[in-house]
Amino acid sequence: MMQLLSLAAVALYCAVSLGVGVRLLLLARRTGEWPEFLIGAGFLCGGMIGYPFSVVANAMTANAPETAQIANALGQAGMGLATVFILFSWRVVFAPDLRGGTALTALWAACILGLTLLVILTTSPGPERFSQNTYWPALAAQASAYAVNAIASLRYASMLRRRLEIGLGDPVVANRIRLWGVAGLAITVQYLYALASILVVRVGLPAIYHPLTIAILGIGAATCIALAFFPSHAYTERIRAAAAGGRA
Amino acid sequence: MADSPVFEWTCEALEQATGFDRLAARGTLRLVLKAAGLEARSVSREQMDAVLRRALPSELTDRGVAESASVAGAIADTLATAQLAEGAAKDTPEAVFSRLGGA
Repeated sequence: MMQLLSLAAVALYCAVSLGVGVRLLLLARRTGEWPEFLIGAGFLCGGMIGYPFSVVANAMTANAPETAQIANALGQAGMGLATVFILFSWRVVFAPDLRGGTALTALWAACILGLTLLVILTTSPGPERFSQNTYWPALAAQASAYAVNAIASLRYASMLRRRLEIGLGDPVVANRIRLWGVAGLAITVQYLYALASILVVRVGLPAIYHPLTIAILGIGAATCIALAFFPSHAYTERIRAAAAGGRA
Repeated sequence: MADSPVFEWTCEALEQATGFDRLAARGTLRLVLKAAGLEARSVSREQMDAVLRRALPSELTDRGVAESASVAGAIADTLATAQLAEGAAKDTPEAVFSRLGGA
């Protein structure tokens, strides 16, 4: 039952990532703008390469270790690339005027990719990788990219909420940015939970890892992303009505 | 980063209309902008218009300005036709996410 729920969460996240990723890349082709390309590529790398290949690697570790090793490398590469795309989207969307932002983002991305490469080269799939010294720093680096995006999005969403009170802006767009922030927060917590689980075991404390936690956070992130990028008419009308009620 | 031409212009207009000194005018406007989720470096003419008409009057009343709504409204009316060296519109997060969702 637990495994089914975990698989359902991965499948949901992958399906949403595919839909949003393809849609944003098509939009990027039309507009020639960076944000849609970066976020779209991030979704496709994470949701179509990173997550599925990581799951395959874990599932095949016992029976087909060589195939699992290849799947693990692809999964890690997908996760690392997705994180870098998301990091650059933060820079382009939320911090275009940040002094030294290009150097900072480039250094940050190099750090993420370097640590990811180390994981690919030095760890094998399965629980034994948790004891490797390269795995948890890579997780922490990847978490940082989602965290900065979540903080920036939620801060901006809060500003937009205040603008709505004086009749400025579109409540649906404000809600979309908030959902993007909450999704980023859920993914950050996923990373931090995995990180904490590894560190707890490394220092000899009882294990705290439970797949259900990761699955619930994954379902939450996928739901937020779906509502942000594929909102139903009823949902957007509800958001508009709530905003109008708040102003009245 | 420098404040926007709209902010600079409005501060001067507020000084003249209320008798505030430069520091008081700029401080008052910064507080109102922050409460409205806006920033002095990027506020546009349309956004400042909303701030002047809907948020500034109560702040001016609190600071003892008589007929605050008409004072703020008059500044907004003049701002609408003022010649300002506004830069090209930037791709704000709001504009980006509006595009991403097809809104």
